[in-house]
Amino acid sequence: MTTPASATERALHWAVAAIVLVLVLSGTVLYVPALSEAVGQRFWVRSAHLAAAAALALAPAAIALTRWSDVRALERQLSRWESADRAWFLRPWRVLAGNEVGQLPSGRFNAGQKLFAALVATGLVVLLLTGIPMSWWSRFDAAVVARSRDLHVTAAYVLVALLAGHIYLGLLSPYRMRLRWPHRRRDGAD
Amino acid sequence: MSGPALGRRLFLAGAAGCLALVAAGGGVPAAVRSWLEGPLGELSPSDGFHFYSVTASIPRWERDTWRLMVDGLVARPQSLSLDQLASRELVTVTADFHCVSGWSVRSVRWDGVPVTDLLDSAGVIGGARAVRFESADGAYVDYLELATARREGVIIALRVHGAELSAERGAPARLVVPYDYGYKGVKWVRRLTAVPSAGTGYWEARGYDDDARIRH
Repeated sequence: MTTPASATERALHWAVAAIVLVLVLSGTVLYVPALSEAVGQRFWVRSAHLAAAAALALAPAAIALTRWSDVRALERQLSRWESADRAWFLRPWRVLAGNEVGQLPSGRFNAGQKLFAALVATGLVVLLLTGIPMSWWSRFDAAVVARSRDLHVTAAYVLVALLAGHIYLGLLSPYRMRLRWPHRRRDGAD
Repeated sequence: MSGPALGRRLFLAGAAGCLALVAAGGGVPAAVRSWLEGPLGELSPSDGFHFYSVTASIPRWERDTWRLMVDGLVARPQSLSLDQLASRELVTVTADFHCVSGWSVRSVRWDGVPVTDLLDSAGVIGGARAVRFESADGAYVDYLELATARREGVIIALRVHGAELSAERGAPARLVVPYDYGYKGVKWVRRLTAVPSAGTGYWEARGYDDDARIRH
């Protein structure tokens, strides 16, 4: 039986998801020449991007402040790695090698979900940090702004790839019932 | 939950690595981005320029009717056709183009008419201390101090790398200020006006510095 997501976890997940959607859409328009040309209105697109970035910094912080114990518990569940997590990553190789692999013991989240959460959190903080010299460019050396932009773009590509995989596994994969975030109570072997 | 907090360590290491690369990463971030973007082709512009516009469309223009106005505090207001402009002595300016959002295009070769020549033809009169540059998009304006507008290399460009400007680059004419960030380079420029003092440009009204000089 899976543990259902708490109200705090759902609020955190969907707040970040909505903000990231705005960031990805506005960032894509700002960056891809054909879309920039089709949409124009750079001031408004840029403003939407910056407002979403501010929300990305503030919304999780606000949820964490108001529901500290819930957020702390979630962070521990996602952050702590155990021996079963190593076995989770080795599982494909063991299957390829012809070894029999049964049901692996796991905590609430499997190793893939933990790695995804860590990478997304890291990607988002990299985007926020590199966005600072990009927004306040006049206070920074031109080379710092350029390096920030290069990292910003790189982190955005990685994050979009991660989110595409997340959405695929969550919504589209035939294995979605086994892999998606446990947001509803179900009876069964997993 | 007794194992090591690897997720937290990864997060902290990523944030620290990011700060280190921004502060002293040399060419590493650019090399990584280039490597990653290589297979993506058109997502990254082939000539290095990104397209920025503050309105919904690119201004249309006709060669027969297009005019560049030079007016304001001048003795002889000018209305120049594109052919008249192109028949003047053009100068070549080669400079790196820097955008405030962090991208640059190295060694861009512009051909155009020096702004100081246009101002001399119009005869700037006493009291003028700045020049207002107006875009045909109906929204974008920016200002240069008169002394800056008269500096060597400040031109109304008609060509880039030997070819006529494309619509995206500001055709048929744009301002080029090689000392400043790109937001001073008004695209689709249609009017130069000598004014008593510099006003507030489009992006300056939205938080950008009046001083657009590139800091190296």
